[in-house]
Amino acid sequence: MATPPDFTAGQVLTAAHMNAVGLWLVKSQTVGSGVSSVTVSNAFSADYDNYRVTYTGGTGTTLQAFRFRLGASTTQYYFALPYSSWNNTPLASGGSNQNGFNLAGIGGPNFVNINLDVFGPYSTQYTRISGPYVGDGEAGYTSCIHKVSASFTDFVIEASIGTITGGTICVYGYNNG
Amino acid sequence: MAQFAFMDTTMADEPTRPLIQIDDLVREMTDDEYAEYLARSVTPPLGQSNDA
Repeated sequence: MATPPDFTAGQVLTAAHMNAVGLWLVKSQTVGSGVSSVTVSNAFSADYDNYRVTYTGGTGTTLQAFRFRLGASTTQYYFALPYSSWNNTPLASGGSNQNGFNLAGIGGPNFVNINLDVFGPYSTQYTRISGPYVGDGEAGYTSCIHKVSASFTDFVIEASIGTITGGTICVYGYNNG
Repeated sequence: MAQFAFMDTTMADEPTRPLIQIDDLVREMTDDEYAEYLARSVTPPLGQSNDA
């Protein structure tokens, strides 16, 4: 089989074709109006080791950071965010043993943006999370390790202040082949 | 007097506390959840941001 995508109209897609698809949509969830936090249940399972989580299309009541939590775990989040304010001066923010991944994304009156790779949330090894952090006033790359040896199926996205409205949270699984 | 009546009506229409969402279900926070919300450690997006 040639490397996809090499499909033609009317072609039968075999198991080999489908098993070679790299990224599958696990679930998508529309965010309500004026909510402080959103729990996404049954996002992680034995089906995939690693995941991509995105949240776009919504708005916040004010400039806000997003906290990402695995299940109900509220401890042992270590995170770092080197960034710059659209110039060549390096800046950074972070925290150790926090109650959540508190710089997982950013939102404001005109946007929300979360774009994270989540590695091994369903395994009992430590979960590692990373992705770009893109605001209007700055950009960087945010990373987190959750030092708890447990398996998680759910995650929570929570605004640091105020509430969020609308948009869609999508969870994709990376296919191991 | 009419002004006060208008204000009372407006305030009554607003939620008393933020909502939380679990999957597709949106509900008002419980007392414990609201206490955590009020005590939430606010991590600012970043000090140099001008997103607002």
